[in-house]
Amino acid sequence: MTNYRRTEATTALIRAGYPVSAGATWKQIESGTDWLNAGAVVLIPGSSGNVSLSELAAGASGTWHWRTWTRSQAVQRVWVLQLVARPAEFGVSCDIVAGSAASYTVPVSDGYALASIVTYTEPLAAQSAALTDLTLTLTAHGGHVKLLSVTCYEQTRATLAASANDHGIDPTSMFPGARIYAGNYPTIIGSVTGAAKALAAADARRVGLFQWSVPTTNPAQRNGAYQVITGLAQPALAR
Amino acid sequence: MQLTTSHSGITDVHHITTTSYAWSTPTQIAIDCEDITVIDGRQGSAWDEIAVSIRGNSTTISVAAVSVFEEP
Repeated sequence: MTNYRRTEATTALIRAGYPVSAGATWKQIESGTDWLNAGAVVLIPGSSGNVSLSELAAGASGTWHWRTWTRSQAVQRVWVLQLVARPAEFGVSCDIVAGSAASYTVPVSDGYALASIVTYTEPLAAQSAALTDLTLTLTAHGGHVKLLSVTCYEQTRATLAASANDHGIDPTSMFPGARIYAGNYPTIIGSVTGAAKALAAADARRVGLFQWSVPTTNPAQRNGAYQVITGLAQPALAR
Repeated sequence: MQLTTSHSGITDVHHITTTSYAWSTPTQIAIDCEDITVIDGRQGSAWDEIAVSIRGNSTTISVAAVSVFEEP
């Protein structure tokens, strides 16, 4: 495992004819590369789908779906949900289940002015870089529950392993006096070749550009000419 | 189902034929990316805005989710 921090290599020490000063150059490059690979990305930009369609009656469940291409470094997803009950409905609660994670129950306040914001962490069973169906199932208890908005991002990693999923660099390969070698990436991620390939593997996409979702039990429906379902158009800007 | 963009001028139409919920096959569209020569990154000082419309063809279409994302 390798700790990371945002660093800038001391380029003044990288000059033709100078010796490699691992403490000030290669180690900085390793930390900076790990910092790039450990950063979080947004899977679902804060959005509301269609609020009028996103309400569950007491006892009802609804499942929302989003789709995106995840990153291999992620081991957790963080969901930020804004939930509200109808005015003067008291004692309302909501079960939250993201993917295959354990159910988490939260109280839900009544009326928009008291809308509850819930942060919920979904541990992932396995790391995966793949086109993925993100799901969220809510169950209302004691009254109506409306999902006002949702945001989901991958949790930033504190450490990265020298593995095919993490692309972390072996820190011992960057110590002063360490020999320079060309590892068999990604089986061995170290030295100059490892750092260069881990840098090339950095996945800093704006993963989620536009997401719109309502529960499958209450979809947008149309039988007739084109009708916009997304309300105001939403800006997107790719890298 | 039709996805349109305001600045990149895309009109991308999906014909939905399934009778139960399933993600349709993804298609690639080329929306605006950052113009690195300007401070706000927008191309032509305009946002590229995405809108989605649906219509039935003598039947009812149901849509539960739409996703636009960057591929690796």
